[in-house]
Parts: sequence; C-alpha cells; structure tokens
Amino acid sequence: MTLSRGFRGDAGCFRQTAAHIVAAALVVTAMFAALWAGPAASASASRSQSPAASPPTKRVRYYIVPQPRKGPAVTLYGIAARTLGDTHRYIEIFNLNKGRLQPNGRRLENPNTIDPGWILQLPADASGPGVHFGRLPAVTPSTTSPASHRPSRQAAGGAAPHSLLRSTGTGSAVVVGGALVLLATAGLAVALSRRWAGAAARRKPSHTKTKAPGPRDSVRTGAVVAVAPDIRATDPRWPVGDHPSLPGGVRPSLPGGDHPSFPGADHPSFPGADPRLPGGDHPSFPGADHPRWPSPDPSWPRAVSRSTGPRRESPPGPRYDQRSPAASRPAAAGVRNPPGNWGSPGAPPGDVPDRTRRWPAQVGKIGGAAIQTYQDVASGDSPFQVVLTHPPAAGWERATGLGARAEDMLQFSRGQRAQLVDPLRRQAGEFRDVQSLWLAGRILSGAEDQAAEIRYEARDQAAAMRATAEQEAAEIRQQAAAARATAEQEAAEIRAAAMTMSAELGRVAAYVTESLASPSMPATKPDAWPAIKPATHPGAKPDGRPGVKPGSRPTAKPATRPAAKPDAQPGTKPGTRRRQYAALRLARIAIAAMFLFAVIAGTTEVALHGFKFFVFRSAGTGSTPDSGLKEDQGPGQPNAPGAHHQLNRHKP
Amino acid sequence: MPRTAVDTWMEQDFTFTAGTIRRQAVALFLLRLPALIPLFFISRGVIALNNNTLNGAEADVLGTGGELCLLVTLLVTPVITVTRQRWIAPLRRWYGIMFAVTAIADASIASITTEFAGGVFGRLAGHSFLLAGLTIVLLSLPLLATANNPAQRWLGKYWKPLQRTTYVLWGLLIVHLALLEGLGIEHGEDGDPVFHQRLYQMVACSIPLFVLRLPPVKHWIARQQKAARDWLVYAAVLPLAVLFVLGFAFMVNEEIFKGVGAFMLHPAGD
Repeated sequence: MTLSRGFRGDAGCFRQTAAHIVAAALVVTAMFAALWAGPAASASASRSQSPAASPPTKRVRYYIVPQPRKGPAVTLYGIAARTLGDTHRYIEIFNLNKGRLQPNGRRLENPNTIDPGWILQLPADASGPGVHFGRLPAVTPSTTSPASHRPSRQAAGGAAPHSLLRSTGTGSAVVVGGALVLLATAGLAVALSRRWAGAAARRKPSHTKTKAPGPRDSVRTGAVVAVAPDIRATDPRWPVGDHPSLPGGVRPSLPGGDHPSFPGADHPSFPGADPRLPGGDHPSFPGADHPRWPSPDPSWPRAVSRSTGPRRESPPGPRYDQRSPAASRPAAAGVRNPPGNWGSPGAPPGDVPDRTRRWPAQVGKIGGAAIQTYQDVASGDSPFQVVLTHPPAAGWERATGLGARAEDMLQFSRGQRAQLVDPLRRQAGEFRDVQSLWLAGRILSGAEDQAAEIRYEARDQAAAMRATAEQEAAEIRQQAAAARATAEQEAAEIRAAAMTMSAELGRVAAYVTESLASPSMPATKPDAWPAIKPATHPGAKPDGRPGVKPGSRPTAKPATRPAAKPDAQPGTKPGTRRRQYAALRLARIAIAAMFLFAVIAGTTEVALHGFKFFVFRSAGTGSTPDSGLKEDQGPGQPNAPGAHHQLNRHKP
Repeated sequence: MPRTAVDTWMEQDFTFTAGTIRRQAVALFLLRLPALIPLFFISRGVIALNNNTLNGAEADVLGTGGELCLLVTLLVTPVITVTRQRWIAPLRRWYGIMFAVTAIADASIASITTEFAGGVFGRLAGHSFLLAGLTIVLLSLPLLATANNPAQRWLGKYWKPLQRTTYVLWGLLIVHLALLEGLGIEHGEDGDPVFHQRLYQMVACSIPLFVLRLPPVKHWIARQQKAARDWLVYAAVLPLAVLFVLGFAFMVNEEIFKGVGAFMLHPAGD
C-alpha cells in the first residue's frame, strides 16, 4: 500500500481523532461503570452464588424430594437406597448438590438435612420411581418457605444470602470500578504515546532512519529522479527552489553534499568504495557506450567512455523524453505511464533509439492535499518508480532534474532498484541532491542484499522441503513396494493352496469314482484298503457293481442338488460317504428285518387262526376291551382302597 | 431363513447367582416334560405289577400318549415353517424318541397283560390292528437307535432319509386306528360321534400337518413371508390350526381322563 506523507498526515489526524474518541469513550465508560458497578456487582455476585439459578444445558437425572406423608422424613440415605440401591452412595448425591440453591432459598450443606421440594441431582446410574431425567429445572429462590417445620433455620438461611449479596456487592463495585478506570487510563496513555511517537517520526529526517527496508516494505526514502514539468509549471503548491523543504537548499537539516553526515566518495560506505557494489570500473557498470546508457548530450552529464557491453532489448511501448517539452506528455489524473528507459535530454523522440528514452513524471492520482505523481524511470534494463508527495517546484527542472527532496519522494515500487546507483553516481556532479540518490542506492543495495538472502533462504528451504518430500516419497514407494510384494506373496500362497486343494479334490473325485466302481463297500477305514482289498477282491464281484453305481449316482446327484449342501462334500473324508452308505444299508436292513418280523408274525397268526379271526372284533368296531377299572372303588364301596385287606383280615 | 427375535432371545442366558443357563434350554426343558406324562400315568400300575390296571389302561394311556408324541413330532416342522422360529427344533427329536419309548412300552405291556390268545405273538400280532401296531413299534426301533448325534454323524446325509421313515409310522398309525376303531358307522344306529373316535381325531390332526408339508404350500408361505405378509400366512393357517387343535384336544382329554384314572384308582384285587 502506498501512503504519501500527506495522506499519512491525514491518517495521523484520523488516528489522533480516533484515539481521542476512544479515550473519551473509555473515561465515560469508566465513570458509568463506577456508578453502575455497585448493583451490577451485586447482581453478578448473586448469580455467582446461585449455580442452580441458570439451568445447566446437560441432561441429568434428578430427584424432587417429596413431602413426607407418614413415617420418617426423607433423607439422602433413603434416596440413595431408592435410586442407587446403596445407602452408602448418599455421599455422591451430597457432592453433586452441595451448595446448590434450592427452591426454598436454602442450600444443601448438611447431608442429614434436606427439605421437601428440593431438587437433587443424582448420579447417572440412578433409576427407580421418582427419578427424572432431563435438564435440571431452573431454581428461582422463593421468598416464602415451602416447608414450615423448621421456621427458625429457614428464616436464618433465607436472610443470610441477601446480606451476603449486599456486602459482596459493595466490594465488587469498588473493584470493578477501579479496574475500569485503570483500563481507561491505560487506553488514554497508549493513545497519547502513539500520537507522540507519530509526531517524533514525522520530525525525524528520513535519511537518519537506519532501518533498512524489508522485502515487503515500501521504500519510503530515496531519490526523486524526475519531476513532471507540467505540474511544476501549473501547480502553485509545488515547492520552489528556495523552499525550505527542498533538499540542498537553505534548509540546514537536510544533508547536502557538504553535510557532515554525508559520506563522500572516499567514505568506506560509499558504493564506489564498496567492493560488493559495482563501481565505475566494474564490468557490469553501464558506460556511455553501453547500449542502455543515454546517448551523449550537451546538457546531460557525460560519463566516462566505456567499452561496449552486451546489448539488451528495451521493453516495448511508447516513450517520452522528459527533457523535451515537445515530447512531454500532458499529465492526466489516474493515468500511469508504462516504465521506460533513460533517455537523452532534449533529444527528439523519433531520432533517438528506444533504449535511450526516459519517462516523464505523470500524475498518478489525486488523494488528500497533495497531488501524487508517479515517476517512472529506468536504470539499465530495470525500470522502477517513485512517487512524489508534493508537486515539485518550478525551478527544479532545469537545475537538477532530480530536485525533489528526499522527504518529498515516497516510494519505489519496483525491484532491482540498486542498479539506479551506478547511473546516478555517474551523474552526481550535475545533481545537487545526489545524496538522496546515493541514499536511495544504498537502500536499494541493502534491499537487494536482503532480497538475495531471502532468495537464498527460500531456495534452501525449498531444497530442504523438496529433499524431505522426496525422502517421504521414497519411503512411501518402499512401503508400497513392500505391500505389493506381500500381496503378491499372499496371492501366490493362495494360488498354491487353491492348486493343492484342486489337486486333492481331483484325487478325492478319482478315489470316489474308483471306490464306486469297486465291487464291494468298505467295512473298514479307507486306510486299510489299498494294501489288502485290491489284492484279494479284484476278481470277486467286479462285473456286477460298476455298471450300476457309477453310472447312476454321479450323474444324478450333481444334477439334482447342486447348491443344497456344497460345503459338506469337500470337507468329508474320502471314506465318509462309503461309511455312511454302509450305515444306511445297515439301517435299511434293520428296518427290513423289523418289517419282515411283523409280516411273519401276522402271517403266522393268520395261518394259525384264520383271516376272519385276524380281522374280527368280538366287541365290535370301535370298542376296546373292558378296562377292568370298575367304578366301585370310591369311599365305602366294595373295592375301595383297603377294602380287600380288611376282608382278608376277617377271614379265618 | 432369517433368525427371528424369539430365536435371538432364546440364545441369551438367564443369569443366576450360581451361574447362567440358556433360555432356550429352560424353555425346551419345560416343553419336553409333557412327553413323560403317559409313562407317569402308567408307572403306578407297572410298579405295582397290577395286571388288571395294565390290561385295562395301557392301551388308552400309552397308546394315546404315543399318538400325541408322534403328532407333536410331526408338528414341529410346520410350526417352524409358519413362525420361522427354529429354537423349537430340538423338540422334534425328543418327542420322536418319546414316541418310540411309549410305543415300545405299550407293546411290551400289551404282550404281557392283554387277553388275546396265542401267547406273546398272539397278543402282539393276533389281530390286524395289533399287527399294525407291532409294525409301528418294530419300525420305530431303528429310528430310536439312530436318533442321536453319533448316529447322525455315522449316517451323514443318509440320516435324514432314514428318519423320514417316521412318515411310514404315521400312515401305519392311521391304519392301526382304522383297524381298531373302524369308521364308526356300523356301531349302533348312529355310531359314535366323529370326534369321539380316535381315527377321526387322528385324521383331524393329520390333515393340517400333511397340508403344511406340501411343497407348493411351503413355497407359498415362504413367498408371503419374504413379502412381509405374515398375517396372510397366519390367516391361511388358522383353519388348519383349529382343526388340529380340535382333534388334539380330544386326544389330550382322553389321555388325561384315562391316565388319571389309571394312576389314581386303586388296582382291583384279584
């Protein structure tokens, strides 16, 4: 953001006014606070001492102490036993509700004393009748006592909080009022200190500031290298040559060429003496024969002839010669000229090469009391820009061309300003305010150094970050490779297992097929078969079974029950099916035997007694023989329990 | 078949101070107790060796008790089909076992105490209905022998087809009752009331069990249940359930009446 001193002065006024307003507001607030703090403190004290007055937002379990009807009064022990199942947990209820304001204005201070109507928060695991769940009801202390069985204690308990509030409110009022007054005083002091600091900064010469501009700071001191002649000619506010604010004039506070604070050419801090800065003999110094250097002109400072340097392309766009009135561009508010190059003074625009042009100052914008002008200049191939805070004096143009004081220039807004030092130093003999230019060069050089350092640091940081990122990426790649290797290994194992299982299934299928084709079913476990049975029974009954079993069973079963119980088959042992089938055959044999036995028995009976007897029922269809249970066994009846024993006893 | 909430509840445990017990075990224990009632009724006569009581009560007590056990055995599968509650499945094996035990006890006592001529064989197979009953008992022996987990593992996939022999017993039981009771129309002018005859009682109970085992019916029930129309299933099954309960109630009444009489009445003296 660009701020001119004029605008800064406006900003200072604004800040000063704002500081006054804030200080006044604080003082008035403190006064009102002191007057208001008494009742407010009392109210806050009452709120702070009644935690139950503001209902908690958390949902809890609570219990409302009922009115005692008959029997003993309600106690915390009873409530704990009723809601928690343990009388010893009354202490938890007591701790939860200790000091809580209750509806009758009292508080739970003694676990042996609770009043009906009190709202007691319970632990989370409380349950049972009377246990409510929700937000704890807001307690509004009532002036009247809900329970009258303890009037004296209740009256004392109800009066105590009010007296406490009153006493606490007075003390709090003093404390709060004093704190606010101190706060207002501190604010006023801060505002005044800011104001004084701002005034001191404005009084202090710009070149005495030792702080080098940072990379993001605007260059607030430097050289005004050109002034718009239009403004100088027309604006009466533009300082004249004898204006005390002009550098190099009559103002003694500004460092001139003979000022003791000004470092001379032989000063160690002078750019020419600094080996780090490009001097006149430096290869990078643009000489007169440099393609970017202004062409010779009688009115223009002449430099030492130099060898031809590398030719550089100049930026495109229109260019105007500041020294040429015909080429001057009329100032226009809000218009900013594009950057250009230094040009030879007085040379017509069409006759000089583009690289030798320089830009005149133009009115950038109008803000505040002063017209701000942007001056675009170029040094070598690096254009930069300065802004004037005041319209330049009319006499500056011819005398210096860079006649603005260091105070009047505001800002450089482009980079690579350090290159301005060299061409300006070459022209130092013709410029009165070369000290400003030199300071600008110094500042720009420092800024360049700092920028370079920052660039190096940023480069180092970027390199470190890149190295870290590359390392992390390498680790991630290694992990991914490890995971991939593990997955491939697992997949290989699964494939191997599948192949093994498939092979086993194939063997099982072959074995089953072979077993089905075998002539006889196994009577023992399959392990004993291969060594014994094949040697003894190959020719026993080979022809009868294979034609029946293998052809019918394997084709029928898979077609009928493909999805019924697929999991049971692979897990069974090779001889399981044969064993099961043998068991089935055994069961069938048993059933057949049982059935045969019944048939034989029936046939025998029919043969012995005839079919009519076999189906004849003498008692008729639907009747069973007399059960023999005579209904004469009741009490007193002949066959009653014990009657036979009594008859037997009477027998001789 | 998805697991019902009742099944899930049954899988949980009852917690006592001495330990836990599965709810299903408790429920099954209670539901298994009725199968012991016929043996309990006849136990007094067996312990006293009272031939009169055994001869007069065993057919009604153990025979009817065996019928009830078989019907309950056959009832479990339709109940699972309709209600989808599988926790009652163990009752099927238990009542099947108790049916066989009751039938064997009936045959054993009948072979000793009844008045049919021909000795033991005459008492067991001297008549057509006796032969049918004897066949039931004989065929129940292999089923009883294989009604356990080792036999189930031994037989594997053949266990279930073997146990389907129970349907044969079911048919033989109806034949047994038909030969025993007849159709009931030639007895007197009007005959006995239909549901006072064991054959019709058995038929009334068998029809619902048979219908609910038909594959189309089972598929229809499954479709309705999948479509969340259980009410339609219950509505359709309700008449069958009423019919079953009607026949079953008469049989239970017969069992209780005769059983209590055999247990409570003093055996007649010689």
